Amino acid sequence: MDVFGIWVAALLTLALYSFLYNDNPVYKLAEHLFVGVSAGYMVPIAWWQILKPNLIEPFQAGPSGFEGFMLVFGLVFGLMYLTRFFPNIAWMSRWPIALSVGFGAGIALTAEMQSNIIKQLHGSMLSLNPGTEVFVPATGELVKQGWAGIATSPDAWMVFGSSGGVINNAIIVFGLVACLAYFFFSIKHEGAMGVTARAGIWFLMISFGASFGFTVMARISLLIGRMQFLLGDWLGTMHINLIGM
Amino acid sequence: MLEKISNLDRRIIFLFIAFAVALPLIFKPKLPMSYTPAVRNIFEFVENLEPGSVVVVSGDYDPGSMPELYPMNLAIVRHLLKKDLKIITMNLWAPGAPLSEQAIFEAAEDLKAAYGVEKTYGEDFIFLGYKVGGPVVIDQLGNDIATAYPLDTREAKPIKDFPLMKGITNLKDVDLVVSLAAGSPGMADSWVPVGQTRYNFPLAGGCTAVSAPELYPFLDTGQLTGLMAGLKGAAEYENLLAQKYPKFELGSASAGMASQSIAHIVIVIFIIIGNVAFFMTRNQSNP
Repeated sequence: MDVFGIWVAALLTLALYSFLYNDNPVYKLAEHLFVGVSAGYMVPIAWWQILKPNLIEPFQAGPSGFEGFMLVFGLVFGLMYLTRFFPNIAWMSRWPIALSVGFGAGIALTAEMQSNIIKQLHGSMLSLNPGTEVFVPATGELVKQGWAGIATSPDAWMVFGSSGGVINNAIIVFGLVACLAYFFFSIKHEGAMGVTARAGIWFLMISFGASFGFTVMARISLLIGRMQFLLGDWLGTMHINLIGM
Repeated sequence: MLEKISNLDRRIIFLFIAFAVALPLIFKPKLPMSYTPAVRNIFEFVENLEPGSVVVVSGDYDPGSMPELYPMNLAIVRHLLKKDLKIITMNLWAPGAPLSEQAIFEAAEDLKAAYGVEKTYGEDFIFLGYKVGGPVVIDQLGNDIATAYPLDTREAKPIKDFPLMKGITNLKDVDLVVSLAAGSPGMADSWVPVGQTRYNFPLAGGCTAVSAPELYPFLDTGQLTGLMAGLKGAAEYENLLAQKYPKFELGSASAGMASQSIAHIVIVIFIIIGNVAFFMTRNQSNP
């Protein structure tokens, strides 16, 4: 990035962070600029990388038969999206929307079923038998999990406590049952069912906490990225690079 | 006093966080680094690939997620080039295309500077660029890569003309796919359900920390070979690479780890202080 670009980026970063003190016109300017630039950036992308290679160039090549029909079909349905701007014929935009929704649901249905339901169900059916052999990625060996494995494996923690271990398996199986019990409303949550459902709430709370922790980590990472830019690249243009990067 | 703490001006907290991030970047304290099996598995998998193996690297991110994903992109392509593996880059996100290209050129320069090895476009790496469609593109790649990407983006030549693409028809012919994903389309909605589950190729991932909890279940089922989560995942990979190949320098992710840890400590301290103040003021008002 040249010096001018670095300065523009640095000043816009500071303008956006000025919101942390208070809302102000400089922040608003940077915010609106970002929205406009993002929209402007997508226009040539849409032309050069979507419309031109997928529609214009195939037309110029002189398509025939089914290929030509599909191009005209795509063009007409694409244009029908734009009828939303004209109230009298806005109903026509529902057709391409219906096509998109139907196509999206169709392609997602089998994939989601296989990937997120069947595979995850399979992943939840875990052995609680300490004698079961498990794969240890670090060593590439099959070893017995549990106490039997600890005696024989150099990577005991992997076998017993970490991924694939007996304790983890038990936690996963019990957590799954407890969370499902919490969301099962056909039986009153009292007695054994109540205890299990309450444990389900605890599992859910822990998972929300983990998710929030990851979110905090991500936001701090973004701040670190900007700080590295400001203290390194930006101050570097004034020969006072503070972080040596 | 307790009420003052309970109603602390949030700008004071922002100031503490700013110092917690900036000072470690300047003074560079050394903090220990731990390694997770999820990252180590990717590293080991790449280490065990034969020279000449083909790896697809999908840069499905944008400048907004660059601080987390670019360092892991750079680290993994450094590793792939050092191992003499062939790289096909592609993007499900339009702004990701220039970032993927930048990462490969930067890694190629690093490799030349550190080990004197030069890499050639078309033989060692190729850019397929951005394609709209998310899961549909992955499905096309599973059948025929040239249908989804007839031309490369750098030279606009048919991809079948490049030496790297000899013998590569679809995703079943590649030895590893690495998806660096910031959201949708990405791993959770495209590469895992449509790609890996349907075409059964080894898939490794890199993601922002926000999306990591959504992806961890795919590790346990084996749908993901490994996962680099956020800046920490990138730092782990950088360190593993630098340990194995000491001429490579650590990158921006490792440089940011001390800031990350200290900022987390500051946040935890504020959470504890806030909770203690809350419960004490509640007890005072309801004796």
